[in-house]
Amino acid sequence: MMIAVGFGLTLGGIFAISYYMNMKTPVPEGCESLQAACDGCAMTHCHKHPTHQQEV
Amino acid sequence: MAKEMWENFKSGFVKENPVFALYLGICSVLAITTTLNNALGMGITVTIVLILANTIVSLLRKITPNEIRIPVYIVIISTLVKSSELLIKAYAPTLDTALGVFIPLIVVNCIILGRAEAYASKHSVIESAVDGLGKGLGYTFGLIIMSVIRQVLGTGVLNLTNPFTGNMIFEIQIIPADYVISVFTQAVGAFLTFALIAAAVSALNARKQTKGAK
Amino acid sequence: MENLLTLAISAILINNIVLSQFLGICPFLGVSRKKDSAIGMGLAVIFVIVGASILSYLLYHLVLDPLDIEYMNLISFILVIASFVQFTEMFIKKYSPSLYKSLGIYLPLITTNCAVLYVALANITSGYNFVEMITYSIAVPVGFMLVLIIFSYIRERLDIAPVPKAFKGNPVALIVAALMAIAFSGLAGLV
Repeated sequence: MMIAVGFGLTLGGIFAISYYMNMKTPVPEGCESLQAACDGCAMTHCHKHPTHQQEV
Repeated sequence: MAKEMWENFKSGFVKENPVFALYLGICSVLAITTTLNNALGMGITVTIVLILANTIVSLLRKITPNEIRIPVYIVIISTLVKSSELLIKAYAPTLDTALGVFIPLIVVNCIILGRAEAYASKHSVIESAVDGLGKGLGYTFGLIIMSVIRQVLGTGVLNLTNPFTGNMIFEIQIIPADYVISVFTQAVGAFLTFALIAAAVSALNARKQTKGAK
Repeated sequence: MENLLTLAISAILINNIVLSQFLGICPFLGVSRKKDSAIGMGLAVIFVIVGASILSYLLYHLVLDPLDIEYMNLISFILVIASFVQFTEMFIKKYSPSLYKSLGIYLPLITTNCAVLYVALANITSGYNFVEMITYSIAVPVGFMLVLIIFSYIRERLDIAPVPKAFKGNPVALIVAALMAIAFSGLAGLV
């Protein structure tokens, strides 16, 4: 049981670190204005979604 | 604050119905709604997971670091879904065989992650729980409508069984077996029913908006 | 060899992930409005599903099974898929701006695509060996991309056609999907 919890938290940690590092790497020049042509997309957690644009 | 909560709760049913207005969680809607049993089972499971997920996310909202919100939410939601899958396998095995792989797939149901991100991370525990209840019931409502139409037109029979004991609660034959349109139990019928209901909801919302503007 | 071919054809045409199994529809409706975005999304999905399935398969058979914690499969798979997408996006951002332009922007969308998690789970529950797993993991997203591209061609026309107001946007797209589902279900006798 403890192995499972430890394992889950390790994977969660790997995900958190990769997510953070990904947020911090800059988009290559020439690509900042790209919007995925995904209008009406319902996935609000995707960081390309309009609700996130003002934060970043 | 209570009035806002009530407005938010009501909006989950038609105006911001997760299924027909926001198009969230469609994968499960199309696949599950062949019978009323499946629809109710899935709807109630998603509602419970949504309420718990919203509550936990709201409880932890002050201490989760802002940059890694999404990983934290995904860990919370996947733990909740796995626990409910194991509980369903143990106590309602007929529901488990009927829903199959769609119970684990609740993890990637856009409704839960979407509400956690958009609402529960910014509101108090009670508001988030009520929001979860509203959106979950709206989702269940949508599932019930679709499954009733598909089951009645596709098989003519409407029945409900208790998933915990396997006893039939009721069974009605609405259309005689010779006149059923069996295409409604297949992929085509799913897409078609969903498209028609979505168009109806969109027309309803547009009419409400023009009435409100006048 | 025939076994693999049958597996591939049934995954692409007969049990098509979008039209028969109803998975991957959320991004399907969102991205399929233009041809170019459809191709970019399709390629991104192929890459993510193949990579994530291999990782999940190895994780299950080398770690979860020996340690007797199979019940962690759901949590581990979703975290592996999500991390894989993040690492891939980082890698593409740093080393290939052209690739980022064409398909990098769709990568975050694929994390919660039902299809990816489904393939990862199905590889385990169907008990495939390594080669069958690779065939299945390539065939399913190829089927997804096929339907996505056909759909985008039709949708580009629909956007300028006189559709009734209530049906504009997603409802008429779903009716098109219904017609495609009938068409594809006619292929059921192939194998």
